[in-house]
Amino acid sequence: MSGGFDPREFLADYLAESSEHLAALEAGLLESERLAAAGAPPGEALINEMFRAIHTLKGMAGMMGFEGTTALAHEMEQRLDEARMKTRHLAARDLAAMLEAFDALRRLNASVEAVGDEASADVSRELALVAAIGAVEAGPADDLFARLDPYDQMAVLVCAAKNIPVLEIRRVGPAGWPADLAAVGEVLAVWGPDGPVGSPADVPAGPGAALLGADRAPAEAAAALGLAPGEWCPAKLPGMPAGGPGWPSEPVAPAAAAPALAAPPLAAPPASSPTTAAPAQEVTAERASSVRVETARLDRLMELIGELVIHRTRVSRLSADLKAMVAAPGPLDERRGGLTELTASLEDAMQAVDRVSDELQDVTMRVRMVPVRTVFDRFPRIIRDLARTCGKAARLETSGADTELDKTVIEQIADPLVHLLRNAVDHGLEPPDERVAAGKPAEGCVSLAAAQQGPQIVITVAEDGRGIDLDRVLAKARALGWVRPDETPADADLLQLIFRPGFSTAASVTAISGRGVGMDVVRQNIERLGGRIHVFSEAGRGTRFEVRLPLTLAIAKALLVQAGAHTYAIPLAVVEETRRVAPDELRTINGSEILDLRGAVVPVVRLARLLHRGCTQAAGGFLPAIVVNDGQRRMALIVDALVGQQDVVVKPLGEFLGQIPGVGGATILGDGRVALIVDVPTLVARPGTGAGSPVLA
Amino acid sequence: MTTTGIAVTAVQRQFVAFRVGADEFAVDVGQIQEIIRLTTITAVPRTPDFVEGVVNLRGRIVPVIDLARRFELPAGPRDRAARIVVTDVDGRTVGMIVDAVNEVVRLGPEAIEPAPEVVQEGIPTAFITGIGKRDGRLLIMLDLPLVLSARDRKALSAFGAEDVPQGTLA
Repeated sequence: MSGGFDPREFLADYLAESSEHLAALEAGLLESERLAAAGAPPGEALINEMFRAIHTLKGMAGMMGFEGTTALAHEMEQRLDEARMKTRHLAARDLAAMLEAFDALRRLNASVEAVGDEASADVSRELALVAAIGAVEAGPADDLFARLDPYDQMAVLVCAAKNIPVLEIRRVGPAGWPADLAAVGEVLAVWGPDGPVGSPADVPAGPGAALLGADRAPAEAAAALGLAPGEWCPAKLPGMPAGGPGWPSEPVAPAAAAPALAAPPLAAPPASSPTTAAPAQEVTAERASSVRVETARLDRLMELIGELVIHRTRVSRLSADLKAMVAAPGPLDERRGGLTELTASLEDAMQAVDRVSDELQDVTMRVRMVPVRTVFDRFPRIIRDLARTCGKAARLETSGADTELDKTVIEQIADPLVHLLRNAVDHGLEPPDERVAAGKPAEGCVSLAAAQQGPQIVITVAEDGRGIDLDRVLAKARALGWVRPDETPADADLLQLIFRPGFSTAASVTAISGRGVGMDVVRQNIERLGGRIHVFSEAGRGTRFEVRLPLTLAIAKALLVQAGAHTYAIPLAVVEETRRVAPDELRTINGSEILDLRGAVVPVVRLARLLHRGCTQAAGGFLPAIVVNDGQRRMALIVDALVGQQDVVVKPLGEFLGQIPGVGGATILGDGRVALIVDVPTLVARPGTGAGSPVLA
Repeated sequence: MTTTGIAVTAVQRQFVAFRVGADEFAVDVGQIQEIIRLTTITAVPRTPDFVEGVVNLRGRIVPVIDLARRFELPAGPRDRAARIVVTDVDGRTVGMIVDAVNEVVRLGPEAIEPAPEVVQEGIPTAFITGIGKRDGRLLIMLDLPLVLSARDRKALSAFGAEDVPQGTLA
C-alpha cells in the first residue's frame, strides 16, 4: 500500500463496526416492512437510522477498498436518501428488494471476514434490484397507474374499458427493452431511472418500467415480447379485478399469478423458497476476536490498577520495615509496640488489596459482557423467512435484549437458539387454518425472552402452538427400548427424552424432528456452555424451552466441601441450603436413602461414595448435608465437611476426558491443587440427561 | 541452512526415551510438550482406571494417564525418577506417568524396524509403530494418538453410568 496506509490493519475494526451497522440496517428494514404490511410508511426516525447505518458502512467500505459493498451501499443509500427527503415512498416490494440487497451485503461481509476480501462475489443482480426501485418516481410504488398524470390515466382507463389488457413491465438491468413494444400494443407510459419519459427509446440504459396496452391476452403478449415470468404482470387498475374485465379465462403464467402487484415482480419471489431463505438463516457465530468496551469501564479498570499499585507499594514498604525491625539488634520485646503497629498496618494494606482485586475481578468480568441483543437482532429476519418458507404466520416477540452475557456464551448460544426458533415455527406452530379452527389467532406468536435470575441468565423460547404429543413420545421411547412396556414415566420425564441422542434423528414422530439436527445436539451445545435446557409443553397450548446459562463461564461462586479424601466445589447457584442432619433424619426406602426435610422427601446422595468406588465416608453422628436444586430436582449431598465458600475459576477438563457425568469442570485451589466442580444435574442418572444411562430405570 | 543440515533433519528424528516397568519406550519429540515432576494428582471419578486424574499445569487442567496401567504392565514403584511426560497431540494435551525419562535419542530410519507381530505381553501391538535399536537396547516406538485416543474415549463413554445408582432417583 502506498502512502503508509494499510487498510488491512483495520480489518478487525471494520468487521466489528460493519456488523453493527448491518444489524441496525436489517432491524430498520424489517420494521419498515412490518409497517408497510400494515399500510403505514416508515417513520422519519426509522429512515434516518437506516440512512446513517448505510452511509457509514459505505464510507468504511470505501476506505477499505471493498468495491462491491461500496457500490451496493451507495445505491441503497440513494434510495433511503430519497425516502428521507420524502421524494420516495418505500413500499413493500421496494423493501423486499432492499432486504435482498442487504443479504448481499452480509454475504460480502462474510467473505471479508473469511478471506479478508470480498472475493469475487457478484452483486450485480442486487445492484439492479435496488436501482430498479429508482426506476419509478416518487409515489406509491405499488401502483404505477396512480403515478400517471391525469391524461395518461385516462388512456389506460380507456384501454381497460375496451377490454384491452394492460401489462406492467419492469426492466431490471441495462439489457434493453424487448425489441418492439409497439408491435404488441400501445405503449401507455414509460419510466426511466430518472422519471417518466416519452417513449422506450428515450430510456438510455438501466432500469425502467412501462405500462403497455396489449393487443392480445397478457400471457401471449408477454411471450411475444420474450418477457420472462416476473418481468411483467397484469397492471392493477382502480375499480377493476386484477385480471381485468376482458380476459377472464386467461391462462395465467406461473409467476404472474394472481396477487400480481403484491408480490415483487422484479425478483424471484424472495424467501418463498428454502434456497432464498437460507443465507439469512445461517447465523454463524460471528467470530469474536474483539469486544467493544465502554470507555467508562476501561477507565474504572485503569483506576483500579492504579490503586492496586499504590497498595502494593505500601505492602512491600511495610514488609521491608517489618524485616528491618525484626533484624535490628537488641531484645525483640523492646520493639513489641512497633511490631504490633506495623502488623496492623500490613493487615490494613492487605484488606485494601483484597478489596481492589475483588473489584478488579468484577470489572474485568463485566468487560467480557455483551448484551444478548447482538444475537437477538438477527432473529426477526429468521422468523420472517422461516414463516414464509413453512407457510405459517408468525411474529416474534423479544424481551430482555439488554441482558448481558459473557462474550463466549453469546457467541455459542446463537446456533442452539436458531434451532429452537426453527423448531418453534416449523414444528411447534400450526398452519393458520388449523390455528383458526382451534380458536387461536391465525398468526402464531413465538416469544424469545432473556432475563437475569441471580447468577444465571434464563433465555426462554416459547410458542403458542400445538404442544408436544406425549403419547407419541412415549410410543417412540418404548419402540427405542428406553421405557419398558409396563411402565409409564411422568410427563416431565417423558419430555426430557426428546433431548436424548437418537430420539429426534430417527423417524419423525414428534413435534421436534427432521432438520438433521436433533435436540440432543442443542442440549449438548448448551451444556458445553455450562448451561441447562428444560422443556415444558402443554397440548394445544404450546411448548416452552428454558435455557439457563451461567452469567459468566470464567468465575462462579462455589461451596468447597470435603468428601472422602477429595475436595469438591459445588456451584452456589444450585445450593438451596446447608444443614447438619442427624442419623435419625435419614431413612432407607427400597435401598435408597432419603431425607425428610420439613415434610418433603429428598433423595440422599453420599458424594464420595457415589463418585469414587470403594470410597468410604464417615457414617453416624451429625453429617453436613447440602440441599441442592437444579430447577428440576432436589437432593441432599452428604459430605464429610464444609470447607468454605469462595469464587472459583471454572476450567474445562478438556477434550480427552470429555463430559463426565457429575463433573462440570475443575478449578485450581489456593494451594495449587485441583478440585473438581460437581455438576448436580448429571450427578445421578436420569432420563434425558443421564449421559450413558442405557435404560430408563 | 546447508543442504546437509536439511538432509540430516529429514532423515534422523529425535525421540524421548523413557522407561515404564522393564520396558523402554520412545516418542517423537515433536509430540512432547514438556516433562514435569510428579505433582499432586486429583482423581477424576467415572473414568477408566488408567486415567490417574488431572493436574494443574501452570493454570491449565491437564489429564494424566498411567502408562503402566494403560499397557497392563506391572506398576513400578513411583520414586523420585518418576515423571509426567506431557504430550501434545492434535492440540490435545495429555500427561503420561512414566517411571523414568532416560534421554533424547536421534534415530535414522535404518535404526527403526517395523513392529513385530508379538512384542511384549500386555502391550497391544496396535500401539506400536516400530522398534528402535540403540546400543543394543530396544526402544518401543509408541503411536501416541492411538495410545491416547479413541479407545480411551470409547471406554470412557461406556463407563460413567455403571456406578450410578438408579431407582427412586431416576
